[in-house]
Amino acid sequence: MPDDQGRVRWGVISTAKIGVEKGVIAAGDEADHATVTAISSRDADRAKEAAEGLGIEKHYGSYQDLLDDPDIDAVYNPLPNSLHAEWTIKAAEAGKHVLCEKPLAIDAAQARDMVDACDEHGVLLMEAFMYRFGNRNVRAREIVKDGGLGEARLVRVGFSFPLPRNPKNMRLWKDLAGGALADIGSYTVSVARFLYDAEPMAVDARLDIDQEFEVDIGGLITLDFPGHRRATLDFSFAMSRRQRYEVLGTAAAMNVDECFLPATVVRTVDIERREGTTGDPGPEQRLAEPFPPMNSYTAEFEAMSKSILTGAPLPWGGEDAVRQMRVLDAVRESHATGRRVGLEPHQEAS
Amino acid sequence: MSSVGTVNWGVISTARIGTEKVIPAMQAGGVQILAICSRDADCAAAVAAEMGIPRHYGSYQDLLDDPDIDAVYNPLPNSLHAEWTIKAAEAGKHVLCEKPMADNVEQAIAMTRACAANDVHLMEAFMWRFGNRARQVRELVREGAIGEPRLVRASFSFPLPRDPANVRLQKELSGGALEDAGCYPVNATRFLMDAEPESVEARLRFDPEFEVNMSGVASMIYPDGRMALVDFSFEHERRQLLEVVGTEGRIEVESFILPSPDDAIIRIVRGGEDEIESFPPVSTYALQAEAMNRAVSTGESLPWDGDDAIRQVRVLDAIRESHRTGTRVKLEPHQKLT
Repeated sequence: MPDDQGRVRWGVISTAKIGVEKGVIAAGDEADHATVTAISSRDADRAKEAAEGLGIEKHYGSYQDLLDDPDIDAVYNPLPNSLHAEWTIKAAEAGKHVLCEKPLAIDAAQARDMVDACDEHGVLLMEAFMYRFGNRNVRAREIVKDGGLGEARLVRVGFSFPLPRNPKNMRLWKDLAGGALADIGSYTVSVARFLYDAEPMAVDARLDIDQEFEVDIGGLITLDFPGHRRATLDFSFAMSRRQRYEVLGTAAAMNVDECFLPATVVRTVDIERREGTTGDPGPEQRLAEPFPPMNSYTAEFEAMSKSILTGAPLPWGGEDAVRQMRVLDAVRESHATGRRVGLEPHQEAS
Repeated sequence: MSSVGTVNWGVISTARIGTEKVIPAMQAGGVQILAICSRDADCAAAVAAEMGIPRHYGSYQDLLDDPDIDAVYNPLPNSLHAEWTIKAAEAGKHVLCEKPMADNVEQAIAMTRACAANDVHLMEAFMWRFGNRARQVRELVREGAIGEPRLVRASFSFPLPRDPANVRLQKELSGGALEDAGCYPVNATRFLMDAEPESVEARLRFDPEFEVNMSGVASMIYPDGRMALVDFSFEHERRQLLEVVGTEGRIEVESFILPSPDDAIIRIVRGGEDEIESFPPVSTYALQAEAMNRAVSTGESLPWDGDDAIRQVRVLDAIRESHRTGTRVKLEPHQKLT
């Protein structure tokens, strides 16, 4: 249970780059109710080196040894995608709550197994879409929900960056479940679900499969949501860097640029609207609401830690991750069949 | 032609797009509008008087029979484009036809054949392509300013009042958001890719009352795996946004379709740096008429002809088919009409 300062004690499974070099572990440790106390690697020296570099108290030369440490409450799982299920389930069996990197699983069936394992062992599970804790995204969702755009009708999302064609990069490894859909397309799907606070009913998709690596390096997705709402998504490893979404409503439009990764400078939520009628729209007004930089990784660790400490429900738990994976499955199916794939309303496990 | 170098234009109908926008722009650009017609002779006379058009006719055919008219502008409701373009061709008139040129590709082919048979020019009135910005964006893309172009996204939407009298909402006149607005972003992807799509997936939303589509999205795959996404709507906030994303940067253009009195902007983002290029307003309606005038008077070829319009209409057909069937529609490489 928590340490003497009331903080959840976190362990990290692996020394994956996203945790060590990209700052997720350090950010998590910053959270008021979290402390990162252990890290593991299959290579004991690497675990020791990472622990020393990050000022983490304990290190283990095997993932299981970390899971067997009774003084750890929760784990962060940033393993390659294909290993998410195995180690999330083992963590649940060891009684640890799990914050698992996205995509949670290879497919919805595997996600279901992970959620069931966590439920069975009474631990929380969350897919690490940290952007949902970012101040601008929280605000954007609130604007949509409160009717600040009228009725939201179209969400457009783009996420791309040029990934060097380096065979060592696991994002390009087929057997580690790499690919652009898993790595960045998952964000575009997630943010459409997040902004509409709904699940799509139908999916059309087309992936760009790289002949050499045999993984997708980009794609286009159209999602149909209830109430005549749509989303068009694009993502690519083969285009210049951009991450943005727009929400077009019956009364106004909203743009959020640099939307996914934590903001390190002041950024805005931009609204465009006209005060006039449809026949006589009047001049366009542009409002830019500024937000201070914040670390959404820290906020994500804090939210999960608080739920662990208080028993309050997570804003997005395992069921949400199953729903997300269902959509990614439908994307792959639509690509493979060339057909629109319908999604039945999601039934939660009873 | 009545005098050397002057091309006399006739306008088929007093449609609002003509009287409110295109005719004044053509006149201001020095294009000679000789005649206008309407099925209502009084209406034709009144519009002619008001707009300073020398001749007026109480039937479309009477205008086509005027031997002093060289070219016609056809802004009729969509469903009438084919009939009156073909009649104009048969009367020996060159035709600038409003978009979408036809209801389907078969019509577009028939129109193009009729114009070829009568040795007259035919162009679909996508005036935005004549703008200085459109040309500059295409130039930037061609010269590799953003590396290799991989994605074009284009949007055109505006809230349309639900007025049953509006031709855009009339099924029998071939109204609809795809036809009225969506054709522009589709055209923009073809223009900037400098190619034709290989496959199309699309969704439309039909209005139960009007039975026309009110909004839609389409995704297209172009050669070499290049991607395009378009959206269009009568149902949400105004947007005319064009984005070209390349391997090394991107270009964004706002308000890329309709003529605007303001300076126009291109935003180029490369290596995290923004560059802005500014362009003075131009009259794209006048420029497209002038291109037609040059083709008529000097034999200079048109940048876009009937064959281009066939390719454009083919894509709109594929969008409607994909919506109807729920499948990805493949487009065969286009064979130019002989």
